[in-house]
Amino acid sequence: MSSHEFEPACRRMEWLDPFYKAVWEKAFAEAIPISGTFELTSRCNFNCRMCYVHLPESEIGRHGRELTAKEWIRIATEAKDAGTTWLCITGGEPLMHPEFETIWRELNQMGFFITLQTNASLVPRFEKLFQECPPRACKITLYGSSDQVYADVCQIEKGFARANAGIQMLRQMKIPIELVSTVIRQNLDDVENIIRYVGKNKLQWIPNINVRTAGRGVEVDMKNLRIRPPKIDKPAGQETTGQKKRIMDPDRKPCTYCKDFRLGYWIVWNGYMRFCSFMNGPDIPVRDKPFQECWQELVKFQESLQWPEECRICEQKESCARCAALFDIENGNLKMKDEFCKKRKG
Amino acid sequence: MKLKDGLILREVAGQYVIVPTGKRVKDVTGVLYMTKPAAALWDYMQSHDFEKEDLIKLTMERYTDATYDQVSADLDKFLKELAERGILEVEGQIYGNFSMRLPKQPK
Repeated sequence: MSSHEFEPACRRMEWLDPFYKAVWEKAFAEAIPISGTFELTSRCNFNCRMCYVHLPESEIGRHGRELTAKEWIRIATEAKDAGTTWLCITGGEPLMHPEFETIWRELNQMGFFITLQTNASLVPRFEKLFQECPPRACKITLYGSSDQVYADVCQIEKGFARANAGIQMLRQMKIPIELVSTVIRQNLDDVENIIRYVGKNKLQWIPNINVRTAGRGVEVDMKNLRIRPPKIDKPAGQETTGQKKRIMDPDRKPCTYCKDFRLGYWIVWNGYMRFCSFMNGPDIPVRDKPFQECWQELVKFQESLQWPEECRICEQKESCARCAALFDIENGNLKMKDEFCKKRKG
Repeated sequence: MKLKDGLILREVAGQYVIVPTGKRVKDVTGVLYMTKPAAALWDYMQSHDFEKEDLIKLTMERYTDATYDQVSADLDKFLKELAERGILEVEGQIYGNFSMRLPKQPK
């Protein structure tokens, strides 16, 4: 068992099936990469205002080169040998990868539990492929209940009609679907309609209001997108007393708060292995090095990563809820973003 | 009995789990995990038409302390689970939609 003194996330997941618990515990203890995400491409046929991955085709070359089908399949083969069993395929829009069909067919035969994350609009184009090689589950982004809302959020024509056609096709194929909606100013008024759509189609739905920039070359206009959660007045007698709750242990390193620590990874479209999609580093080149070597390097990187000096000496170091993804990576260290601290300190 | 095709046994962090591939992904939607003794039978089951007695024999060769009755009872449970989860080709199984006419109740 691991010598780590903190409690890994799986131990707090009482709802987990004993199989998952046993797998997660051992994977954590022995640093086995059981869960991976392949971000196949930064291409997308939508242009969502809050997306931090999508790049126009003309800009892709400035940020690197997409991995080919051959490269993805080599990485997947090595990842499977290293223990990867749960795999998420995402993008951009993963169906936009020029060799998506080849990649999907191969991965589907290799023995992973695969979840496909998509905007669903291109699903009808791949109907035959998904009949022959169905995904185990689909996580579908839903940003509105009409073409007009999709035009406002995703800056695309007939966006809802296209997404809905894909969703209905997957429903008919009896593929388990989970809908995910980021709520921003442009679709806030449509949330009730989205809820009606979710209910009518009897689907699971996870809304969120998280809009972030990730330092990955895509500018996200957070100021004009974000909505604020409603303020909840505390009942009389429960007003803030000035004593803030201790929620962070200053002795714990940033990555130890992540549920994927020592067992999950992300491979971004231009071939780097990272621990989180929101980060602009580290740049561990899985294109050039064996998977296992990259994984060991990633675990070592995570274990050595410290909070920035400003956090370590801050008076709010125990009460300020934060994770590594709220920072940039510069020269292998977490770097404070000015606006982050200003907001927290008020 | 026979196992269906398109199923892979994987050892994941010390546990054994069946991962469906190709079209089989739609048929086997839950997670089917198994003990080490059951996993030890998988290779044989995948490459042979088999009977329960074959599996009892293989298990008792491997686990010499086990009794016949105990192994037989465990295998009953295991095979029932495989059949229920659509992992076994069962003789006489009807695929797809079907309808049947029930005889009228005698008055």
